Amino acid sequence: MRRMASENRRSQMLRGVLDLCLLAVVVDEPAYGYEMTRRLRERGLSTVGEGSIYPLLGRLEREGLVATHREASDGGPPRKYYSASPSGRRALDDGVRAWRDVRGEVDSVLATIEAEVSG
Amino acid sequence: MSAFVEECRQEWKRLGVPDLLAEEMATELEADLAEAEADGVSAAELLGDADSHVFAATWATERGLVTGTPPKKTRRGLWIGLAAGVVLVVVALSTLALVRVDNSASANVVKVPQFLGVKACDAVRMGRLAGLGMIHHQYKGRCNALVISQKPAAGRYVPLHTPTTLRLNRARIPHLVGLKVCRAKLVAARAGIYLRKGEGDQVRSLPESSRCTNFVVAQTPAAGQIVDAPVFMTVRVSVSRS
Repeated sequence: MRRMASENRRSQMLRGVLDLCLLAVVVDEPAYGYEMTRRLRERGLSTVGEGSIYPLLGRLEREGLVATHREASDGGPPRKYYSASPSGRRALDDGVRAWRDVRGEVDSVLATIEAEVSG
Repeated sequence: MSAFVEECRQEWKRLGVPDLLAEEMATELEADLAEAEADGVSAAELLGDADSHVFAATWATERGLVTGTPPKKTRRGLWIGLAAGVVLVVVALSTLALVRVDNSASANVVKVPQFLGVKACDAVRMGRLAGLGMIHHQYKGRCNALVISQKPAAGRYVPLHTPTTLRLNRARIPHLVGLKVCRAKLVAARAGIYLRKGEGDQVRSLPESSRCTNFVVAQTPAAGQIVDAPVFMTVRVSVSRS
């Protein structure tokens, strides 16, 4: 029960920043869907919570934050590659700034609580 | 075709997602699932625990391919459904006509990428990769000039090899003040701008090993200006604490 609640909270928290994480892994080099999942995992984000990255990629595409193109693959059908568009790069910069602000503020509050608990 | 992908395909059909786009998503999903399986990653790890219908509907909705859940089968809903069906038939016929004009086989429609703000060389590469045809532009060897308009517009679905026209301008000065020096160098490089530091006669190149702890505190020219490439920008950098 407690574990489920914890997973649910993690999922809720990730929901607000997963788009930034996706933009971050394609800002320097385009990638297809699964490759993005692999890059997230390599950077320490092994699970992305409920659902998957595809609906989110759909939204980023609709909002013009990612550009897409197809590239031939070895033997299989052409793969769809995603890369951060200029507006995606701007959104990433803004989002990272906002995330750091919020993280700092929340850390300050939680650090105080933790000190009270442990003390 | 895995059962999951087949169920997604059926859901997209039910929701009225155009066949070409449904095919594109199904192909993408199928290829990713196959690669994940080869890596020992299960479909559940890749896609979560979502039901295939929910997953397919969410993806299509987020992409803007459906406007909401299908209407209930009321009398009014029936009329709306019929009207939507007619529209879909018209769209499908138009698409077919386009494909025939292009003398292409199947799946010969490509989505036009967003080129605005992209460097000329990158835009040409993106256009070719996307399957667009002859790309006309005022190149003149200015690889770092930016695209300021494009035809056809971004996001449109056009037949493969459709000729594309890009208009290029010059470099737009980015806002670097407040950024760390290493980040500013990256931003400037992407805009095709050479970055130097100093003031007046004391201008010199930024060393490759610029410390990432220092910040840009002033810049010349000001952000937003459009100037001919190649562009040189001069920045003042905060003094290191250590």
